[in-house]
Amino acid sequence: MQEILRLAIRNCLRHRLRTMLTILGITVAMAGFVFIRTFIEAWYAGVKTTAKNRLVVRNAVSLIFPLPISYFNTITQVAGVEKAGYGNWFGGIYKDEQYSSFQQFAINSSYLDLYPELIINPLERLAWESNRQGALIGRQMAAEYGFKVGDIIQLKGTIFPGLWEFEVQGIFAAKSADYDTRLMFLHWDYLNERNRTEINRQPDHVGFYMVKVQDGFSPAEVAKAIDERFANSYAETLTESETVFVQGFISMLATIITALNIISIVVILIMLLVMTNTMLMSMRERYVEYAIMKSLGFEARHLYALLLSEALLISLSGFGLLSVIMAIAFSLPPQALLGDLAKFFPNITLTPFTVGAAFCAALVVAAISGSLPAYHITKLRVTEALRYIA
Amino acid sequence: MTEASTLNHPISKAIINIEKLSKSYQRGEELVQVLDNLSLTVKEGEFTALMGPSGSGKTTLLNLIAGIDKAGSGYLEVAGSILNELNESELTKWRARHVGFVFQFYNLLPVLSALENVALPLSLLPMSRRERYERARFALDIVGLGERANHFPAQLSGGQEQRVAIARAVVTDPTIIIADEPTGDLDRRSASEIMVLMQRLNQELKKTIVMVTHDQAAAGYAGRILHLDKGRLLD
Repeated sequence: MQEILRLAIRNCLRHRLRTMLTILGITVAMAGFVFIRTFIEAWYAGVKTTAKNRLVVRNAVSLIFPLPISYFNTITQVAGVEKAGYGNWFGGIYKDEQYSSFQQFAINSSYLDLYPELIINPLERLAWESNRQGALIGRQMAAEYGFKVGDIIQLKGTIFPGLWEFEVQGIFAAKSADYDTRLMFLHWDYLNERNRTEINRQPDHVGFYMVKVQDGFSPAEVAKAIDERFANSYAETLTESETVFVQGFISMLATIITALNIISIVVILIMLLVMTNTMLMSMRERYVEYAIMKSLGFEARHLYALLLSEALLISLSGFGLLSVIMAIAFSLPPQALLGDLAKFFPNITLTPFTVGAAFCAALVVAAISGSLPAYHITKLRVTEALRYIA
Repeated sequence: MTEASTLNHPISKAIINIEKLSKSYQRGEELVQVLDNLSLTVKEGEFTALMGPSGSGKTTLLNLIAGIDKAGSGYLEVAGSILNELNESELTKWRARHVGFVFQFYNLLPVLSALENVALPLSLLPMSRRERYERARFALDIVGLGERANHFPAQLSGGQEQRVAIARAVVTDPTIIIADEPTGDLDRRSASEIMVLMQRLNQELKKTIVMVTHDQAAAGYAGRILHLDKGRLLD
């Protein structure tokens, strides 16, 4: 086996340019695969931060239609509801940005109790609760914009037109790195007050309610009970788990994700074709050598081992090169790696699953591209091969 | 592997025992008879040259004796095994044990040094790497190329390449050496050196050699010359 491996290494080095180009081709294809898989995983990253025992209550017609604030007391009285909160998507624009790269939610105080994964300084929370124009901002947002406690953030309202000023009262973090803390919490009371007096866009309504289900209760049963309470009302509710709710958002991009999945498979197929072509070219060039080896007593298993070793060496070299490139690429800040796209994927990371998938793809490509010529060679008759060369 | 001793057929003391061997193949519509009821016996330690015009069947006969081709009919016993009864895998193992090959175009692996080429067939045998390379070096010394052990085929002349090929053929101490036009690609002087070497292998190491050649001078080194024509032995 040692001799077979030595021969495989020497064979790989025989046409160095061809081998290098093949390795580069495989590296580029695998890099495409890894980036696509990483983007897909980044899209699903939000799902990881959801909790199964948290429910989202929204208008059954559409999320863009609000629900009356009067529902709050009714919801908190439903059996199985431990805590509840509510909020509105604010949709403000900071300075001259074309779109906001951080989310803003106008919430009530109890909303924060539903998110134990957020680390909020109690004193800062207290300061926020006592200031109607106060804001709590996430650590990533603070870092990105250089905000600190006491700063004034001015937003231009889009859903709720006008200029809005908020004072940063606290900066919170998250226990999980998957949690996107480019986030800003405002007071729903303040929003509602100005809405009622200046804007009059359905005041005393909220965009959604969040509910934490008590231990021992089925989230599905509690969701059903909430919806039954508001059946046949002018604003019927649709209650679903936070996970399903977030997945619903992602499913809006289902076509794009499906297309990306197909592209990632096509990339692997291209890699397979490149590799198989190289292996078949090598096989044709070495017909006589394989015939000689057979005549010397080398069996089918030896020739399989030789060709598979060559394919593995090339394929895994491609994977090795890819690993180096990825290690460098993902050690860079997202902004340097993705440019403006980084705003959409702030927590983009290379997961062990994606690396494992790329490694498996390299193994499968090597196995198939090595086996095809090996099968052909083992069926080759020595006399025919010798005549072919002569 | 089926040894001849296990069969009803009378066991020959000859190292090659061929009786009524025929081989044909289809060329388009036509059935070409390459070997026609050929019978031949070669004793252990004989140096036999097969001569004949192109298409006479000499290379086919050599391939059959070497176990790299299958006969159509007849009896073919080489080194104690009836080759017609062995499957592909058994034939491969048999070749590793009993046959050393010398080809017209040397057929060394270009990516291996002379020493590694000679040691290659030994990797199929149960021996340490050190032992393999010691034996390969010894075989290279026999053919006079000990000093060029680390040269690659591209760095050797045709005659030297053929010497390496001969070293590779003898390194496993095979029962029989098969040589197909071993001087066909060499100049007169190199051809003569190769034939002297082959003769030494036969006379000093008592190797049985079956050689196909067009070259009358090369055949002159053999102890026995057989002429084939249209698949039959003339002598």
